[in-house]
Amino acid sequence: MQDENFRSKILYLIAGILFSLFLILLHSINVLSPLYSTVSYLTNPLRYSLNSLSSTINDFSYSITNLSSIRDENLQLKEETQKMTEELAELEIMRDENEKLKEQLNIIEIGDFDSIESRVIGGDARLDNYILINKGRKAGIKEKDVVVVGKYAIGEIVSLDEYSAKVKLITSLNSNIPAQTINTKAKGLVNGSFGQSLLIENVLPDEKIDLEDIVVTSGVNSNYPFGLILGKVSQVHNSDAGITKSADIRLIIDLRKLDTVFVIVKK
Amino acid sequence: MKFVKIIATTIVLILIQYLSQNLFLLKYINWILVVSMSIFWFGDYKKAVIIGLSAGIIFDGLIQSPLGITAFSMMLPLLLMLLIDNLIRINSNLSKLVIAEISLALGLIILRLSNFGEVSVTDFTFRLKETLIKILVSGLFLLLFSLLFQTKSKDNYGFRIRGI
Repeated sequence: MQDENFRSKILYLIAGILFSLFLILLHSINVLSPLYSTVSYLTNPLRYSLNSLSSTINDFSYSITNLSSIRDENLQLKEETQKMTEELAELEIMRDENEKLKEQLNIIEIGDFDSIESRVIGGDARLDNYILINKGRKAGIKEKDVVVVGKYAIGEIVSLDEYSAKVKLITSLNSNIPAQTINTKAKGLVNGSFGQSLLIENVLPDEKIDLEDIVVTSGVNSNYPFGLILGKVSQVHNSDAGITKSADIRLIIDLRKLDTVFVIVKK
Repeated sequence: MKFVKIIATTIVLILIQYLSQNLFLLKYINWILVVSMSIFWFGDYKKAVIIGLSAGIIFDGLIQSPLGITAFSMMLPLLLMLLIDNLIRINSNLSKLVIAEISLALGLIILRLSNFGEVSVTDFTFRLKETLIKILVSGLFLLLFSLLFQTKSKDNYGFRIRGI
């Protein structure tokens, strides 16, 4: 009796495992794409609502557990805002000068990209480092298209169906984004660091990395165009062997609170 | 009625799993696994397999994972649990929970190791830590879940989940 019970349980489980493996196989040969598209189309509104709800609960619990750090952060942000207002004024003057110089040199800016607005409908920005958006192939998005918010890089499309797409965030451990610092022009590769921040690696030892310098995409051998902001340098590491340098990068934008993002596609 | 209960459990599982994706602590738990494991262990294995399979497949569809991944990751610990149980044949409830936890840990580690092929040492340490937290938190919930739902049972398993 006991053996029979055990045998039938084993049979059920093996049937379940075989069925799961069969589905994984179908996925690997792309037979399931129409099914994914249909599911996306039907469930996108529900997914958006559920994602908003879970983000609200998440924010609430985060605020309660991190009250003191939020207060410190607030003070720090006030100081930064003050500093940035001053910088903004200087930048305005520089922009005017830049425009005049461009006119003189006859440089024409070509807008190579279109942007597609889309909503975040799911995913886990903190641990799994991906988000889901509610636009897919139908909207003209392709694999490896870059996702941004303003001038900030968010990630790139890794898989998609007709009505939704999966975005690998810049904080992913193997994002490998060619980047450079703005002031000192130190070049390196940016990767995620434990899903919370970024790390610029493979910087040559004779290149200088300043604290608080802004790191942007370099656009070399990458899907990311030049000039998208990744973050600010928060700590510099010099390796003992002195072969390369690396630095921690603090994100400026909070990837957990994304609601609307833009996919940039080539015209 | 039985069918309605299975459908309802499946929908609840999917909702909990989807909603907890963004929540700091809850994201460490594979609810589909924990609930199916509890049903399997303390109740009806047929229902556990059907609920786990259907909830896992729909959940994969929702988060754009390859269909079958969640269901597969659920079946592996169940199979391990069954094999260990069959070898040891114990009746103590606490020991059963310990075995459930060990199976969960083994299953998750096997699955994680199978994904470690192309990652660096840093990634490995990070993923391993994440998996260990997942095992611990899922185990705690499995324990809580089992204690909440335990009743006198007619079968050899000592527990039966009420209402399923």
